[in-house]
Order: sequence, then C-alpha cells, then structure tokens
Amino acid sequence: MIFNSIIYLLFLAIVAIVYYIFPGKLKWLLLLLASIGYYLSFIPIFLLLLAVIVFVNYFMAIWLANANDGRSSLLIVLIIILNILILAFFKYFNNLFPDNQLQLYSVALFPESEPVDKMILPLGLSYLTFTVLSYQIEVKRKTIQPETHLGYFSLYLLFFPRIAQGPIERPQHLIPQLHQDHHFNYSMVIEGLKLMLWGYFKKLVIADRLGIYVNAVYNNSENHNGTSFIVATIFFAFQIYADFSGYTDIAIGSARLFGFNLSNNFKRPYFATSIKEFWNRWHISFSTWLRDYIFLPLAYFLSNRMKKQRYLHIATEKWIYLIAIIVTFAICGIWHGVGWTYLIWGVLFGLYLTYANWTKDFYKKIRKHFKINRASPYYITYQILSTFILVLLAWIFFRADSLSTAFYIVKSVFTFSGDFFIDYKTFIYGFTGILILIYVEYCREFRSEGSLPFLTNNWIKEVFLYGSLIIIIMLVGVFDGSQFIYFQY
Amino acid sequence: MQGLNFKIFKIILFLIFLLVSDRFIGIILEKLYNKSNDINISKIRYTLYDTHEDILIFGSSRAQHHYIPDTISKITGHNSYNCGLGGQGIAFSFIQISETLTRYKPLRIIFDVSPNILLDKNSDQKLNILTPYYHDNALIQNILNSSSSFEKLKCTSFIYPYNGLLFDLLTGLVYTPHVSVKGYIPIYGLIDTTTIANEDPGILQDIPSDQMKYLQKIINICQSYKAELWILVSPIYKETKEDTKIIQDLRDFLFQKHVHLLDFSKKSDFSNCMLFKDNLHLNYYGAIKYSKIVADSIACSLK
Repeated sequence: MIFNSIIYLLFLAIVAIVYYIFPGKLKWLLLLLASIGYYLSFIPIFLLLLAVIVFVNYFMAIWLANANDGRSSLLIVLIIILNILILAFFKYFNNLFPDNQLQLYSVALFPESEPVDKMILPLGLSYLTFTVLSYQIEVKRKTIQPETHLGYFSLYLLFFPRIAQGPIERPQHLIPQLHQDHHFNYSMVIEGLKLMLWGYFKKLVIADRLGIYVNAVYNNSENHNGTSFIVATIFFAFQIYADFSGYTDIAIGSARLFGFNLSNNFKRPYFATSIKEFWNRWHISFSTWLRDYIFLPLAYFLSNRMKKQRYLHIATEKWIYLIAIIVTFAICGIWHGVGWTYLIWGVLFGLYLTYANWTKDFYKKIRKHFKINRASPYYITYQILSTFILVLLAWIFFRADSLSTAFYIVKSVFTFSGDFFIDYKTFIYGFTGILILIYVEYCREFRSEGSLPFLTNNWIKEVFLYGSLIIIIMLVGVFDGSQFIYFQY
Repeated sequence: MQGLNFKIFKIILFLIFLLVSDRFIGIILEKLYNKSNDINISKIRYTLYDTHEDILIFGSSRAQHHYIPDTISKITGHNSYNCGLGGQGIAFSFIQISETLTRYKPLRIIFDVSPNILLDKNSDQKLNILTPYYHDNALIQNILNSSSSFEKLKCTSFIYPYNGLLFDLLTGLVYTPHVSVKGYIPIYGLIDTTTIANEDPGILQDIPSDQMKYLQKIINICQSYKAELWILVSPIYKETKEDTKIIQDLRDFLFQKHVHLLDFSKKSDFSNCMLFKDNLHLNYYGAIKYSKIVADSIACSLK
C-alpha cells in the first residue's frame, strides 16, 4: 500500500472518516489499528519484529528513567547497541548470508504481488530505529519523561504516515500531539490535502518521469557520453529530491488529515548557498538527528580529550571538526547502504564541510579584500550554483551501481565522444516539471515562506492552480506504481 | 454558518472545475489522437481497425524491425503489413489479432515471438498504450480491467486515457508518416559484440503462465476463425542457454497444439555480426535477408 497507489488513498479516506466519528478517547486506538493494517499490507511477518522492538523499548525506557546515573549510562549503551544490532542485522543480512532463500510472504490486496524469496530490509526499520534511539537518548538526558501509555508509545513509533520513510520525529514534538484531543479542523484538513497533492505532483510528474532517463543512462553507463551523464545527474538530483520531498509532503499531508503536525524534512535544498546550509535543508529530521546524537556528542568527547591548543600547527577545534564531521557523514553514508559508493558519498560531504570550515577565515579575507557583498544577487547565485555542482558530484556516487561505474562516470563527464542520449518526451515533460518546481520553490524562498506550493488570498486562483495540478498529474504523471527511492534505506 | 456554506461552495466549485476541465480537455485530446500522425499512434489505430492486407506480421520490436512488408509482398505476390510494435508483449498482439479477425481473415498471420517477450511477466502492464480505446472497445476494456484493479476507476477520467501521450499528440500533428514502410521500421548500425553477456543465469526460468495463457488465446482465436497462424522465432545473434530452453518449451507447447513453429534463432545464415544491430535485433541488411527467407517460405506454402 505505497503512497502512490489508489488503494492508499481509499484507505486514508476511510480511516479519516472513521477517525472523526470515533470517540475522542479511543482515536489513538483507531490510528494504531490503521497503522498495523497499513504495515500488514507489505510483509506481515515483520510486524512481529516491530512489536518486539516497541515492547522492549517501552519497558527499557521506563527502567532507564528510574535508574540511577551510573546504571542509566550502562543501560543507554545497552539500548543503543541492541537497537543498532537489530537494524544492522537486517540491513546487512544479504551481505552476511548472500545465498539465503528465505520465503517472505507479502500480502496481495488487489494487484498480485511477486513472492519475496530473499531477505529484504523490513519496511521502516531504519526510521523506527532512529526514532526510538532519539526517544531513549532524550529519556536518558531527562529532557522528557518516558511515555507510560503503551498505546501512545506504539503509535508514536508506528504512526502509518511516517513509518516507511520518516520524518524521524522527536518525542517532544509528536508524543504531546498524541495526547491531544483532535477535532475536525477544516483548514488543517484542506492544507493536508493540498500538501498531498503537491507531493503527488512531485512524485508522479517529476520524479518518476526523470527516473526514466536517469535509469536509461545510469543502468547502461558504458553506452553513454559525458553530456548524457551531466543531464542524467542533474535529472537525478531533481528526481531524488522530488521523490523524497514528495513522499514527505504526502506523509505530512496525511497526518494533517488527523490533526497532526509532522516535522518538515526539506526546505528548498537546491537554494542552499553552502554545503552546510544544504544539510540544514535536506532530510532535516535525519541531519539534525546526526548532528544532535553523533556529531555534537563526538565533538564534545574529543574536546575533552584533546587538550592542546594546536596539533601540527592547526587549531584543535579544526581537528575536532574534521574528525567529528567525517565520522558523522561516514555513518550517514553507511546507513544508506553497503558499498563504497555510499561511504564515499558520505565522506565527500564530510570533506566539503571540513574544507569550508578550515578555509572560512581565508574566504572572509578574500571577500573583504575584493569588497564582495555577500548579499549581492550575483554572489548568491554563484554560491547556489557552486553548491549545486558539488552536490551533483556527490550524487554520482550515490546513484552509481558500483565504485568503478561512479569513477567511470566522473571521468566521462569531461569527454564528449559517443552519442548524446536524447529522449525528447522525457526531456520536455521532465524540464517542464523541474521548471514548475523551481518556480514554486523560488517564490517560497524569496517571496513568502510556507509549506504549501501556492499561497494566494484569491480563492478562485487557488481553485484553478490546485485543479491544474490534478489535470497535469492525469495528463503526464507516471502511473506505474514505482516505489519511493528512500523505501530501501 | 455563512463560513461553512462558503467552504462547501468552494469545494463544489473545485469539483465542477475538475469535472468540466477533465471533460473539455479529454475531448480535445481525443480529437488530437484521432488526427495524430505519430508513428505509434497511427500504427495502433490502423492495426486495430483498418488493416486489409493478406499477410499480417505481429509481435514486438523484433517483429517491427525484422519483417519488410514490401519484400514479402514482392516475393509472395500478396500485400502485407507489419503490425509489430516495440515495447509491447503477447497481450498486445492478442488484442491486435482478435480485432483483425473480427473484421476479416488474412491469408497468413505471422506471429514473431522471442524468448525475452515470452519471459516478460509484465506484458499486461504495458497495455496502457491502449487506454484511448478503453471506452469504445470491449475487448480492450476487459483486458485492461483484468490487468489493473483500478483501471475502471482511473478511466472515469476523460484525460487519463491519454496519460503520457500529450507530446506524441502534439508532434503527431506536424508529423508526416512514411506510408511506404507499411509498419516496418528499419534500424541501422552494427552490433558491438563486446557488450554481449557471456554468463547465463544460474536458474533457467519457465515461460510464465500468463504468457502461455495469451499464446493459447491467440491459437484458439485463429483456430476458431480458421485463420492460418505461423509462429516464428527470428534470428538471435548469440543464443543463451535460457533462450534455448524457452524456445524448446515453446516448440513442445506448439507441438501439442498442432501449430507449426519456424525457428530461425540458430540459422547459420545469420551468424554474421554484420547483420545485427544488437543481440536480438537485425539491422536493415539483416532484415532484408530475413524477410526474403520468410517470404520464400510463405510463397511456397501459398502455391
């Protein structure tokens, strides 16, 4: 029951209608049952695993909150290791046991589904692990009290709009909302529907359309030239953004139908003027998780250990930044998958950030010397473009099937022999979609903030704009039911 | 209360806007579709409703690129048309053959099958190319409904049947079709023999039951109309173990059904790489040679 299926829309509509008929005190139960039903529509056996994780973490959190300092430190380490081990076991199962032929049964609700005869990562396990770790660490830090209601706790972890791909919700943000009584709120429901529509536009019209060209080039890299690779990589940058942010919009929009506000995961990342800013705008719930639970604790730990002012004539704080950021982004890369490509993708971002950190004083002097105005539109455009190019380079490693393919593509980008692969249809549809996306995001970035694509006080114009989105989806959307890219992570 | 009425009014207006736009744009798209000279659109339209030739060739891209109707017509003395369409599978050919036979009985129905098409489990999923005919053609409607649970719901929209076709419809307005090729599309260039995979898959697959079902349907409908069906496997540059197994399975199946299989997949005349564009496709020169051989066989049988 993936988001881009009609069955999901029917499911959502039924649950939403029943939700507002259901008695207030039991609404959580309906949402929990709906979440279990949603999860069962994939591979039911994994629900047992999730149930075990929920139960174990529920009781451990209560134990953790009541333990004294010494014991709680030991307990949190145990909890972290346990959760990470479960995630790692399933994430790397096929690497550990490459010949496994496990028979996993998926549920065929309407379309027939293929039998799954090899281990796959249980849906949402990564996001659930990060959410639960965030919860446990906050309990340890005593910034929150453990949730004593097992139903609310289960719903916090399993809430169906966010189970598959996040956002990774902090307990302070979502758990209080679960305790609130949610009444029908017209504005919130309409906002949710608008956001979902924008999400579907991004997924069906932009991401899946661009994916046709990207797959054609990246899956047959030996047959394409540098221009094809440049276009495919630019397309991939927009494909993965439209895919993931489209998913997030549908998730947030779905949650709003029930009166919940989920965290935003994206804030126009391709308008970032630096790599640091890019990560403040890209997959925000994950990047802030990495910052708060890996980078900052590690930097703090190192600053307590590295007592000298300088090492090798370089300030200690710069070394600390380098180590902490490289480790953080290496973990970020490994989390995405096994293989050197993901590791290099992560480390590359770590290196970008280290370079920016180490040279910031130098660039400050340069700007001062040449009297460059940082607020100048030309300088901002230069920064946006240079950041985008660096991100593109990283995306090559993310998308390529192997390290040798990635290096081949990087090398080939600078050669122009061979045929330029042109698929006019995808080009026209894809570029039109990208232009609409850029225009909408430009308006949000430089004119008025907001998560909705169109902000206008003219309701007739609004009816026209949102109606047009539906027509465009019907006209050029790709309805092959392809999965969201981040499902696999 | 006034606020609530206004909200309901806005929702109703939104729905009216959608319905009217859907209907209006749908009508325009239908008109564009019927006028389009786009090579695929006009070919689908022609093969479903207008063919009248004595010899018809059906199949996927291999059919489309391997059989030259002019060559076949010249040798056999009977006019012919290549109905093959790249990217489509057996389900599509079944619809074409069924629609043809409801109109008339050609002298020969040549159906080109290839191992990759027989193994294609998603033959049904590719049929959305036929959604423009959903409302007018009962057979297409039935097959599309059975391939997707929500096709009926989607096709309540007048725009959806033309999903993804806007570009083809617009370019089709200015495109002038090459009538003389009669459905055949030549491909040029030579195979890069270094790109052919040497490894065979570990587990050899069987022909999926869905594909067999459509093959059976094609045989049944031809037999019920007493139309002469020839099933051909055209040349493959380098046959894999899987190809060999699939062709043998096909031969066994057709033997039971008393349908003759003409297998050119291993014919020594086509061991020359100069005749191929890739492992599965003959180039223009290969197609000339192959069409002559097929035409000779047809001519012999017609004498």
